[in-house]
Amino acid sequence: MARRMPLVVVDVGGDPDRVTGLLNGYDDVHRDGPELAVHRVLLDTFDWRIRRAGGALSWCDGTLSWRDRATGHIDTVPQDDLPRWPADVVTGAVHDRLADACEVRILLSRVEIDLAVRRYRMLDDLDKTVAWIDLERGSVDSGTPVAIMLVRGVRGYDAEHARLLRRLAEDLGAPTADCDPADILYAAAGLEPGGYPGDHEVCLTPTMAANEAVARTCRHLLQTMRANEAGVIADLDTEFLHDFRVAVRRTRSLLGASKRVLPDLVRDDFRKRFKWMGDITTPVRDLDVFFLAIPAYAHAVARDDPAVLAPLVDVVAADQQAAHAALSEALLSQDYAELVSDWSETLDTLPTDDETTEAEDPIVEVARRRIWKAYRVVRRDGRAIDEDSPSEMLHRLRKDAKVLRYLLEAFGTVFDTDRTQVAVRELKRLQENLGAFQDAEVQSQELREFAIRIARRPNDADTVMALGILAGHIEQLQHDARAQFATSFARFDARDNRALYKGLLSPKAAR
Amino acid sequence: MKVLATYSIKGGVGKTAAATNLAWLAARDATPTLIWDLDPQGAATFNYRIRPRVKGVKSLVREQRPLEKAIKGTDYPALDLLPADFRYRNLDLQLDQVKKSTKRVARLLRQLEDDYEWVILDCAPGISLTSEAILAAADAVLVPVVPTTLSTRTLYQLTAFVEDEAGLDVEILPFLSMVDRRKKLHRELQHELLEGDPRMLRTPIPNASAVERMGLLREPLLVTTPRHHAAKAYEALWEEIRERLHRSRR
Ligand SMILES: Nc1ncnc2c1ncn2[C@@H]1O[C@H](COP(=O)(O)OP(=O)(O)OP(=O)(O)O)[C@@H](O)[C@H]1O
Ligand SMILES: [Mg+2]
Repeated sequence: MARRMPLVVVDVGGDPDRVTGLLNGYDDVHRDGPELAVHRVLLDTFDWRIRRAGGALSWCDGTLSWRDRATGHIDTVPQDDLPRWPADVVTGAVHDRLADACEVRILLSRVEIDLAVRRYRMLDDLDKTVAWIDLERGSVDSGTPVAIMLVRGVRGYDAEHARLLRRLAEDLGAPTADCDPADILYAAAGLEPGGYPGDHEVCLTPTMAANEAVARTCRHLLQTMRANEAGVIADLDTEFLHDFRVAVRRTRSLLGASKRVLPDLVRDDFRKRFKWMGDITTPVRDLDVFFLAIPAYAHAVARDDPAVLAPLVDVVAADQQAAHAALSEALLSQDYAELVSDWSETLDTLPTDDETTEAEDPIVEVARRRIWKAYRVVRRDGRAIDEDSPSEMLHRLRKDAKVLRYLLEAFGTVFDTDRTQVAVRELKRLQENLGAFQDAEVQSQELREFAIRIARRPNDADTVMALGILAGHIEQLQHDARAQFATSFARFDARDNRALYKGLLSPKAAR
Repeated sequence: MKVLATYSIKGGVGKTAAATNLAWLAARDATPTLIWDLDPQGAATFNYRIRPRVKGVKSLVREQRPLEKAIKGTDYPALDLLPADFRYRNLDLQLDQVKKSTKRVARLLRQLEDDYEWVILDCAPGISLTSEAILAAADAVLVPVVPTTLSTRTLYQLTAFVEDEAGLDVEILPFLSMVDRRKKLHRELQHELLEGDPRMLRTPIPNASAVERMGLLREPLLVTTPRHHAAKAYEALWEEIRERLHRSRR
């Protein structure tokens, strides 16, 4: 819609009383109505997806607003309660932006504030309102005071708006710079929007000692795990566990690749303990993946009546809850607490022994050798697979590929960022194919078990039938992925890609 | 976008009073609404405290300047106003100089198609090229009818002009205006008019000094005295108009 009023947001946190004094002194500015109390909440996902999509989402007394941070354009929608998911918001511009930005992530309230709003209007000689001024004052939980002045123009009165801003700037002795109201609140709350530990890169230099480089990377992964713990335990959304698991898996890959960099005794101990962590998270993750796939399944098998899959949803949800309870217990256990503190201590002390002959080598050398080796494992295991190979071989390859992927991502940039990116991109294609195969297989098995349980209960024939169709559908997905494997591996193993790895990594190139 | 015009051949029957209040009601639930004051006298513009002056009327009519440039925000969030200009007196002349002049207002409004859900056109009384162009742009015409012995005849004239002479396919929605319940004649005629013409909207707007005072306070009646029976009447009238339009759409 073309109806846009010019709006300028000014941070007057420094001296709001001075601003009220000023406004009271202006002849053509008048208070409008009594002071209003409003409650405002800024929302974003744990990993700041709305922020990264260029937006700021706020909820205030029954209205949800999405502000485009670049243009200042605001879309609003009536919303009685705080939304948790994009689906809680009625269809429209705000809903669509949210759905695109958040996907499966839950909305968290990041800042809450009670504000007292005083409204003023500026009148012209006909007593017509030509500008609105809102002065909002309050303090965030930590007690930091906040004062924001919103100077809104009226369509067709731009000159008056500009004049008011000039006058305010002059009288305040400071330019009335346009701010993002969300920024003002985040700053007051001491939050740094956009700062998610999983994002920023670990700073490594090529000549850094290998054990130090590994420790830095692992510390960062441990941070990611810790940052996601609470969300996993509260079961807010599936991505807390996803990110937690990725960090665990990466830690295990690094431990696996750290022979002669960390003492075997240490490696073996932590590999065991992190494997426990990985194992305890697997059932929940598998069920999460199943859960996330249900809408697509419902569409595939029961286009007309997704309700036929309701008994399946119930069973999956029940299992998920049970598995989640076990996982939470593990995360709250003494064993986990000790794992975290022991691991943290190990990373700080960096023990060595007779076998850690590469601990002090420059990371660039060690990484090159390890990635090369991981690459050769993927190549070897992949080449061994033909049409008749059992699926275990594909699973093994999938794990090999994960190790390679992570080593490339963690250390590849130390020697060649551009080529590493190409290598990762190609590897990702192969991984997607292997992932689709694995997911379908896991889900086939799970579905079989679910079906048996559901069939035992009194159910209408429709559901059992739908499950049969679904089993066939998933089998087909797995079949497709399997059929695609030869092509996707051939692409990975093509001459160009081989040359890329050789150029990047081979011991010869290292010299 | 739905376009309504308040129109009558006779002057001083309550067109502007209706346009002013109905536009406010249309915009009340944040529905984007525009009131376009096409009467050079600018009474609606005055009611909204806006200066009756438009830059480059001629270039607006000739589509050399977007209509949007002349729009002013009112004191109410979803309601905008396109002001009157004394030079609209020459609108007839200017329309006369463009091709398909009777379709010009409709054509200009197309610029705003995506911006507003309601457009209310407030017309000067009488028959002119301008009023013909305005009626051609409207989905419905709201015709205030003050109960007099001549009102039936006046309404008949208007229908003849709109349908036969101008050949327009526009819904005519007459309503009773300035009805004085204390006058026996009004009471009788009110009954007669309501019975005699099925197009007639059921809600009469009473004659009330509060409506007159609107010209002094320069705010819609619904803002100054929302509980006044005349304010309630406009509210009921608006509901009826919406219903009627909704029904005729089906
Ligand atoms: N319901 C009413 N009760 C009392 N006075 C009214 C009522 N409606 C309008 N008036 C007054 O009658 C006069 C004419 O009303 P209004 O301007 O609305 O009519 P109009 O048809 O737009 O006139 P014009 O033809 O001059 O544009 C105004 O002074 C107005 O305040
Ligand atoms: Mg008038």
